[in-house]
Amino acid sequence: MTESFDLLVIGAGPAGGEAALSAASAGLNVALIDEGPAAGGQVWRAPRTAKAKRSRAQDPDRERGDDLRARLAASSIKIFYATQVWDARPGFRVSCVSDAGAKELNAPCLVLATGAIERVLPFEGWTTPGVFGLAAATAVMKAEKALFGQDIVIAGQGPLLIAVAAKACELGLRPRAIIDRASRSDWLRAAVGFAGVPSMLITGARWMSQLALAGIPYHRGSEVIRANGDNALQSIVMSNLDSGATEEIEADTLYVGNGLTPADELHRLLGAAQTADGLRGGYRTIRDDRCRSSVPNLYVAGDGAGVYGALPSAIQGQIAGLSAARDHGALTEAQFSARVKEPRRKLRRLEKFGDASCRLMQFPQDVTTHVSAETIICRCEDVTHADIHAAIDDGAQDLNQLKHFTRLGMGPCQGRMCGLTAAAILNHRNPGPKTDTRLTPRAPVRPIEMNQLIGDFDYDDIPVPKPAPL
Amino acid sequence: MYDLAVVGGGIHGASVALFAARGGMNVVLLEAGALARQASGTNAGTLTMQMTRAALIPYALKAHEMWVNAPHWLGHDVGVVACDGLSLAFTEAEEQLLSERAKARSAAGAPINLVTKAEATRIEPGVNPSIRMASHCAIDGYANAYLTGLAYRRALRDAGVTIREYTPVTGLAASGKGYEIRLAQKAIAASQVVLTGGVWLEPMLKWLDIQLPIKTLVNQLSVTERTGPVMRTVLGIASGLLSLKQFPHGTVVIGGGWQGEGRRETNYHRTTHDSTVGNARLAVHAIPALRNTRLVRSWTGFEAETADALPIVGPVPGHPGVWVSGSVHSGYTSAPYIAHCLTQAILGHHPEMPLFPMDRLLANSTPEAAHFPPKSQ
Amino acid sequence: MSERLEIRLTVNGAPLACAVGQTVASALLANSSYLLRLSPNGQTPRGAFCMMGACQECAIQIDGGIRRACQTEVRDGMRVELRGAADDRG
Repeated sequence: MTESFDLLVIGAGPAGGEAALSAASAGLNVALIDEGPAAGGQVWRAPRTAKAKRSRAQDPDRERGDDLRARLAASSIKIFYATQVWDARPGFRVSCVSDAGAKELNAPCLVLATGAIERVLPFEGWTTPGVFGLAAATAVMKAEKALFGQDIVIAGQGPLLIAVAAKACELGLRPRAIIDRASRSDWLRAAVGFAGVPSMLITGARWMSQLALAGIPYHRGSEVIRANGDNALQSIVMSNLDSGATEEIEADTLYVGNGLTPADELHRLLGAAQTADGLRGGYRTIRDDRCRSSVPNLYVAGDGAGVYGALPSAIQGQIAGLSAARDHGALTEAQFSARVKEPRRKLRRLEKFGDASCRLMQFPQDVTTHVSAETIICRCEDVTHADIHAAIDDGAQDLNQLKHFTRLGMGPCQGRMCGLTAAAILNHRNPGPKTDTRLTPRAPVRPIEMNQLIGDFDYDDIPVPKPAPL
Repeated sequence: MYDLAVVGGGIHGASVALFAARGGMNVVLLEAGALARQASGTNAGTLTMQMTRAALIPYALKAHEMWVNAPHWLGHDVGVVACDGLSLAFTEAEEQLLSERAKARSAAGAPINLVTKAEATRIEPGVNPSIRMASHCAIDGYANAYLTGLAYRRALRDAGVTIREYTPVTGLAASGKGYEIRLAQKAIAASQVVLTGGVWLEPMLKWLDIQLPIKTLVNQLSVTERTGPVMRTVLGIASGLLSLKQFPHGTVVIGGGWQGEGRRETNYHRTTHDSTVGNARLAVHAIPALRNTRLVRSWTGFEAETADALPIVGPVPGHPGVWVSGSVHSGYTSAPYIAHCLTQAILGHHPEMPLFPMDRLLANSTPEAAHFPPKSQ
Repeated sequence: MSERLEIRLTVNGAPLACAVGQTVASALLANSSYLLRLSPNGQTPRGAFCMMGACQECAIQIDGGIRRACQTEVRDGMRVELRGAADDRG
């Protein structure tokens, strides 16, 4: 089954939602595709349970998301929710699956607004049930107004740490500890950037004082080095980054995250040029000031092309949508220039805030030098730190060789959780240029249920090619 | 000055390099990328007679025996599993095709016989009950293709071969008593040269002003996540357009030569929507339990094919000391044995089984040469 | 204020009540069911991790197929087995 449009937008978060709206407002026939059941992405996530829907707590992300969802619902955009994109080919032909089966959507223009995923630095026991990503906490709190665990610890780095801790307190939980890799001076440096967006600075300061008032122990310049427990988490061990002093804290639930990294599989599958950029989560997709990538008619916006945060992403989305409309001939150059003027001005201001957040989330270079040999790096395939060193000893020079030698990245997450870490280990062992610093992206970009892919069919309808020569 | 330079680090080149080094030669293996990362590392690893061209069955049988004994001669593990092989017929037309093909392959020496639906179901309990009949071969199995590079790397190192990865060769010319092999930076010299470049044999032969068209097939494959046991054989269908097997670690690899898209010139290749869906449907039709699995990855690799779809293995006419090996249909299966025969010739011995000289495919080839291959003994 | 638990799942055959709009993962977690499956290679215990569909740790048997519990909304009568794709316990 195939459907055609003027523009396809993948991802209905802040960037994709705004891209679709601005392109549609310029007259394009737009389709918007998202894996989730509603627009909003991770940050402007829609409430899902009755409890979350009736919550009246002040939440700017919720308000922005509700506003986006209302505008999308009132638009002419064809929206495919609960639809998973598993491949995109030049042209553009986008392969999707949903409960309704597999389909291909076609359009001459494509906006990728795929968002970010969370990075978690590996530590001993991080696969223990009860250890979650930090963004997992926000996802559940936004969707359900709930958080799991009695004795919870919140750890990692970046602004999300404070947000999660403060919101956990609002839900009546009392985290046993906050463990932050950043030092006080890291935060002070960041505050200068946050000053560009006073409302966010005020929110952050309010959260900090709430946590201080509640007396939540806040350990700066520290990290979790071990999670103890077999079938369930029992305690964590934290270590001071400077002194190496350790302390064990009883916990049944740990939320830990080390910032975001672009979900850029489709960008790479389509061959969009990228550049290494630690501040943007590892790699950034190169684009011009109209959000055009190096691939003709491929536009990139939001954290999927380099992490800036939700607000800059929404504006990048607006620009990308207008840019596609301009290139498709729906806007004149004068109309385009008039319509992007205000968004561009806002973007400059918001990006400063984004930069400050990103600096707090930057991936440390020495990620695993202190990690034990037995620590699992590739969660899907149980590939340990020692296995990776053994493969390098055996001659693995790049990431794809490492994959063949160890099965790292061959499991269902396809290297999302381990790729950057493995690359850092490889780089630490063999500094200097490499052929493959990333795992080759492959379709399906996320595992697909065979049942959805193949649907119902008759044997006679399978287009079996002609027999191979005898 | 090396005794032998092998250009192309796939399974053919790596095997020749290994055997030549063990035969006493000082060998360098040059590979543009990493060892066994093109067709040799991305193919389905099927070691089957039921998809092998009849003319290659005698070679494939010998090679199968080598694969099973890989720990002895290669010295390292490529995850070889020997098991039953079944080729299925779901329609009357497929029954006919299956019977003809089983007969031809069995005449060439493969122990293939037709079995009833009941017998096939006993051999493979996971098979779709709607099959009409099957052909069975007790000599079948598979290797874990992505381990090829690692296993050969260790073996080559043990044998003293100089391995040069990420070293593209840019040209080849006679020089003194041997050949000069040009690299990006400088050149190296060798008395003899073997070209084992897969689909890139065509541009390699142009270095010697030889025009020999090599067709590029873009075979695509998919793999499920690790799943509980769903099958125990290597499965195909009568037309040859399915290969299906479950590895000991639980993943199921789906192949059979469905075509992706791509070009040799840019080394661009990738899967298509229709081939992914079509091949997956065929797989689920053969083993219905696959419907509840998830597909985690698909990929493509180039397969080389000559005009008559038979190999070119032997000396390069007019260039003494230059050899070629490639375009071996089901090349992964037959590679170790074909390389063994070619290395015998390179070392000055008489090959155990006839090679496949390329003369037949050249513009000025003689009518006799066009009758290649020779009947196997 | 507590949720009205209108949806009934079975988890390994036992009933579990949950609220409309919950995901299978959150329904299990709210019930303190952290252990979802064993990893296929090392047979190490695993639970939900990223809760946003990326890490695949919560892919378990739901109505016969392997689905990510964190991306699957609960539905009345849904059959959940705490078992991964290659995890053959019980």
